[in-house]
Amino acid sequence: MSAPAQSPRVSTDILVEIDRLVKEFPVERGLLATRDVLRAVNDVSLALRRGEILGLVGESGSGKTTLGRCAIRLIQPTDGRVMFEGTDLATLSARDLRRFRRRMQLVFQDPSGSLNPRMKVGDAVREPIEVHDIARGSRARARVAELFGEVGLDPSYVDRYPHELSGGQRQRVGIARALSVEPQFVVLDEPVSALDVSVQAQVLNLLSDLRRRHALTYLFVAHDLAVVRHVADRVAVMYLGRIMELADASVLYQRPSHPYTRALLSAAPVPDPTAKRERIVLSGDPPSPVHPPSGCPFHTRCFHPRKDARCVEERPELRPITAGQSTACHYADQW
Amino acid sequence: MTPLLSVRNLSVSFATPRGVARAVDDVSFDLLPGETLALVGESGCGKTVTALSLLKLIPEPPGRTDPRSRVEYAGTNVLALGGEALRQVRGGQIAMVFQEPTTSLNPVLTVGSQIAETVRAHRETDRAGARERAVGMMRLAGIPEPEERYGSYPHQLSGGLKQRIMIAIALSCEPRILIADEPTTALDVTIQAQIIELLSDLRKRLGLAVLLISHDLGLVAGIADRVAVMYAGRIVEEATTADLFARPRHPYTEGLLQAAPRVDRPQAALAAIPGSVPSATAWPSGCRFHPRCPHAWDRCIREEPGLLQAGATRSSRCWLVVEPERRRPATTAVTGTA
Amino acid sequence: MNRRVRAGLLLLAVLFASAALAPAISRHSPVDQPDVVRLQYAPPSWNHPLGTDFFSRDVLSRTLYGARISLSIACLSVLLSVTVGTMVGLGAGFAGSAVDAVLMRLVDAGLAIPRIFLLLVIAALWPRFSVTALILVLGLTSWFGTSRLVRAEVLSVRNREYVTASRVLGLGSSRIALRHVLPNVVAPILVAATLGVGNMILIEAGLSYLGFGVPQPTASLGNMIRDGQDALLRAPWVAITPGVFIIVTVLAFSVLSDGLRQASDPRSA
Repeated sequence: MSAPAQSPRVSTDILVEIDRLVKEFPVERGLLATRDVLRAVNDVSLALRRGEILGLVGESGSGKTTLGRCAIRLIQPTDGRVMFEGTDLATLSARDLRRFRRRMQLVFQDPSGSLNPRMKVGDAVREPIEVHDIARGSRARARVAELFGEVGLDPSYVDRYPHELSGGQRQRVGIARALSVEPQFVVLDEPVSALDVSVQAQVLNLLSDLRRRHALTYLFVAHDLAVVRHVADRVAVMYLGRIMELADASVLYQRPSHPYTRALLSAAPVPDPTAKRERIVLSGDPPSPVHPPSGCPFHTRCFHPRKDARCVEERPELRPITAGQSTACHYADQW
Repeated sequence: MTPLLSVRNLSVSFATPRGVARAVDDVSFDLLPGETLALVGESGCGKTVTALSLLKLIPEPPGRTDPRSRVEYAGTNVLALGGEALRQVRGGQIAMVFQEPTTSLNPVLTVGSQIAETVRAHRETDRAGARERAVGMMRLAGIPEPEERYGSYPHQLSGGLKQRIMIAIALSCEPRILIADEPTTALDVTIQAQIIELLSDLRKRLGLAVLLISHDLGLVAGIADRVAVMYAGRIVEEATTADLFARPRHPYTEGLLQAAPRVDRPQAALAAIPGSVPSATAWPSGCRFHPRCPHAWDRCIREEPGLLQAGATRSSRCWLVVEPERRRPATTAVTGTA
Repeated sequence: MNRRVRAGLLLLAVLFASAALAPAISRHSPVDQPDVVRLQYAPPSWNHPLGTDFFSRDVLSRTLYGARISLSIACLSVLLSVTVGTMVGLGAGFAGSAVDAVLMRLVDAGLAIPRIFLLLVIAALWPRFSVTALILVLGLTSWFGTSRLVRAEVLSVRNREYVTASRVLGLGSSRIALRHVLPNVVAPILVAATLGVGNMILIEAGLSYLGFGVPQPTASLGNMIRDGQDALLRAPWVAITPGVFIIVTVLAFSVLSDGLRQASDPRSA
């Protein structure tokens, strides 16, 4: 392990450390099956502090979902590693990994797809409790009722099937199931984007509540900047597999320093016709992650007045700009 | 101003295994020339069914449009039309853009030929003329290099470009009304901003009236002139955009605005609306929002309010309009997050 | 319950009951030859409601007892083939890569050989067939299609999010396969199986008709048709009775399987 330089206080503060992570997917195209490589996550390092909510924001194809899934080794990274409280997840055997799953969980975007349609929701929550030997029989059932209460579901719903519940209720079941194994770390993969606004607020409040009550650490993956602003302590903005900006939420939303972050914030609609806001409309589509641009991945759509040849040739590294804010832009401080 | 489109007492129901679902119940509204009217609501409120039934696009059965429903356009009831007359209104006078550009385009035809096809369905023109017009529409819809893109297949284009193609198809026959059903929901934020800009630009240039169907209050705030909020198959509030967002008069609208997280300012907590949307087969008695309403009293349970005038240009389906003293002070009924 | 399921089940209940209660329905033994001379090819009468055959045996009795044999053979061999096919398909689809490749090449080989030909070869090599052997042979030569079907279903279900969710929860592979994958592929298996029973009755009938199936004098629907074909004009009842029984049974299974297909969506319940 490579952390002797850090003070012990800080290093114990880190729960999950993602180090130079790369994930590639092969893409086969055409009849001749020329093999290309899609680099969904490209050299990303990120540390999650114990007890924080780190928002991971990006548009489709940014690699945010892939990064979230690598963080709990649901998929195997191509390169780099993920340390969980000092354990390199890649070194775990299949058996040990199964046991390790108690400590890190995932909540899915689509609450209907992530529940077995032929299993009563109570059984879906009870199964992991029994498999991990947390409780059995009537005590496991009591624990399920307790979990249902905790996520705001009537305990009488244990005998229902997923299709008999509303979207919001199903997502509560998904959350109860993730909590059933008493994890420390939960990856929330777009947990509210399939829900209606009124229900979305319920689930967001619930997630904040549960974090406090159980001292959880979240990686909150989302495309909706407003939702992330509401829950996250820190926010990482991804574009084409790389982190463009990483900052404390209070800083990022007040003083975004990367042009892409600024564009995202200005494009996010606000339910207030009188709001005065900077209006940036990016031209064109994001380039394909199979053939990312040279230099700064964002240079093809960038509107920064200082944009020049350097942006095309040299990729900017993520570097600290101000306290609690790092940005991968050569001219982040020259607006 | 005389309305361009006038919807009166529109009721649409569906036969389901669980009973009759009254998806849209006695909905009336006007669309004025050149304006953008937004129909806002959450899933299951009936906004999409309303949009589809304006052009008789609801399959019957299982759907059933109440015979008293009227959709008046240029002096005729669209719902009474059939055959050629209906076809001329669809696309020719009233066009539609859907949420999912990927499934709305035919995957085995080039996008250009799909635009040209629509042109030829509504106009006397030869192949070359249709092609020329299609290229012109693609340019109008902001598609770069339209001549080259003419021969592209849908899968070769990004989601944003496909939605631009859909808009080109919709506008190719110079309709006077555009119905846009969640036109940006399937798109990324930066692309969504492009499409919204395109739509408002086209509206000004072509003098279109737009009926925007959306669940996104932020989107609506940005482009609509007037807003009608739907809940449980009914319009519950109607007002100009400025009035609605400044001072919502229906508790549901109020709840929606408080529940939506905002990107432009920090918020302490989100006030969620308790419970969930009722089922269309069993709407609650009285006011359909009463089980979730913080102000509800016995009258709300017994008696459903009509759309009550709440000002010169606005109305709200809520008894608070006539009994404002019943309003409870803002409670601390906030769950979670201190 | 779905209307077709109900109709199919009702019809099958009648058919199975009549086969099971054969002794109560018909007074004659299926193998008795009361009077080979005077009662040969006797037309339907009060004593023999569906007539007699060449050996003066009662056609009704033979049909009912034959149905017992034919239905048992069909059901048991389908049970065997579905069990083997499901296990192979589940294993191949769930284990993936190497296991999948080996098993599926095996299945391809099995499917490449025409089944009736395979059965004829086996029958030729092994001339004295017991009913048990027939069930084994039919069952063990007909699971290839099922295993392909199951594998395809497993491959699609395996990528559903609830299966991913079970992996995230740290559940073991066999538990995921049996508790989360299998229940969600049962519906198409059930549909295929019900259709398979009808098909199996036809195959057994074909084999018996060719003389390789159920040995005489035991009655089966297939060998009865063969007995009847020599006198199709003189005594049509000998072949037509078992023929009608086969048609009705196959039809009932196909109605049932159609209904199951409709009803298998949990949302339609």
